[in-house]
Amino acid sequence: MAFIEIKNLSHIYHRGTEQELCALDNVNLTVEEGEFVAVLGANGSGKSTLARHINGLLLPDKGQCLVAGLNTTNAEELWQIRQQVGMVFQNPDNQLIAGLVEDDVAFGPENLGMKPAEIRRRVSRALAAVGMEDFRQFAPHLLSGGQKQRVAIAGALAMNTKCLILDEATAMLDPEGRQEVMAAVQRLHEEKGLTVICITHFMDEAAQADNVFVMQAGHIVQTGTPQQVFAKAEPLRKLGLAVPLAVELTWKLRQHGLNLPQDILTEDDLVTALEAAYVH
Amino acid sequence: MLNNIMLGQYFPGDSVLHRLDARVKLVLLLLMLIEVFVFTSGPAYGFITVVTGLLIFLSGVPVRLVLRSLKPLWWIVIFTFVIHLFSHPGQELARVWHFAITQEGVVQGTLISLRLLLLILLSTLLTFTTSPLQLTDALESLLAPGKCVGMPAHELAMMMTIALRFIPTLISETDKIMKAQQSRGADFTTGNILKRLKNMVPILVPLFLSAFRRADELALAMEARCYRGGQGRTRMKELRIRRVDYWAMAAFVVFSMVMGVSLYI
Repeated sequence: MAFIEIKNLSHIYHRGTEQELCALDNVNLTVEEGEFVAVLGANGSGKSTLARHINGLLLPDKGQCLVAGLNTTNAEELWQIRQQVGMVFQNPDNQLIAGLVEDDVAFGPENLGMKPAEIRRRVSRALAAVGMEDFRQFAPHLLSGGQKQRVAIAGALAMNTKCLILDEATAMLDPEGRQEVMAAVQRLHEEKGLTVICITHFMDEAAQADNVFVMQAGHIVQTGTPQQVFAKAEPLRKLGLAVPLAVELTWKLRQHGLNLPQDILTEDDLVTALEAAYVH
Repeated sequence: MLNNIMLGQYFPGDSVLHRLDARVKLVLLLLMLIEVFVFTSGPAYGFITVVTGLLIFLSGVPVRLVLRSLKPLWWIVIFTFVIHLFSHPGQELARVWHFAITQEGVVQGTLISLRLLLLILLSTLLTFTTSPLQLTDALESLLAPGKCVGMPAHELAMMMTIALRFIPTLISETDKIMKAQQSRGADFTTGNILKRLKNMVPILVPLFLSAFRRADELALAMEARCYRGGQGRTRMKELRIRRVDYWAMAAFVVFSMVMGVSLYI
């Protein structure tokens, strides 16, 4: 059985009022343990709603959402699900609770009722895993956006999460902060086998994923590896999404008859391919 | 103006004062502040000043930093001193226009200003040596007996934790909004008080809106991290009374005795 199984999931906001909005309509999705998945979509396509279902912040109106075999609608199992699925939100300022980095990372394990010594161990481990161990005694407002997001990731890791959901976690960061957060996530995914669900509209982040889901108006309209999804640039453009710059450039160069492979995703790949083909 | 506020500034360290249990610190501070009010003789104040100096030294917090916390309050101290200088009848030292500076005035003014300075210094010393979370944990623990009469001790402490955490964030946000409004021609520096207050509205409305949005998102983030109230919650930094705390209490008793004796000098 897959780690996350979403079956026929529907979610309706403001049901029964004039503003009734079907944010998710009959969505099916599975994520295996240890997979890195990206969810793409324009604003209002339902991707954040989907994320909130996976750790039970929202509950299904129809269908079900299973995490490691636990059902989000079961109140008993809900807390186990939240422990296993950590979430990092968009605004780095609005998810740190305590006035010190280490106290904030300890917040999750404290809620789980762990012993102080065990909490201490976990906090040290989690901060080291995201490279923030030198900032234990810092106040959150003294950190950069990227550092705050890494502390938020550590807060989830300290609960021993198996899966990390990044809900546009890099959208408010500068390029440097984005890079440091994504590097930390990539490392956790590779070294610790963390399952990652990355909700984003940055195409280069999606390019790092094993699988990409493209959403539109509450439906999943495309699924596949980044190569498969980005190969068809036209449908993506219709959804208001652009393919990564390197993919677009490769496509245009190929049209002009340059001999390049079709599965290039990153700028580095493109440079290597060009050098291999044309620099002697 | 806005970044002078030193409220809730923690200076990480490992001094004796840092190691003290936050509850002990909080209670001893309160008692000490009361004593500052009760024992108002010259020698007593001299003694408290020396003790405060000693505490600052013990805390390992740079003196410069401690003094900086006084900055926003200097003018209050000076104002108090000047008022007292002129308002006590007694032996006249000098005369400014209609007003007489008296010897009693000088003495009273000095004592009252000193009292203010001591109050501020001692309280900031607490926030310098106690992390916000320890402080609120101490508060929760001290209020815990009130739980049986329905006092929401955990909720109050959590509210304080969040408030302390968000003060700097909201201050910098206020700064940003002010600049945004000023760049569009808003004027916060001229006109009478009424007009200035009215001009604050374009700052307060966006500030409140954003604070509510922050609160909403924070609640979601807390829920995502398994927060479900104080029930079954443990602490990484447990409050525990240790030997150093008993020593501190003993030192306080000695301090109080000296203060008592100073009344008869």
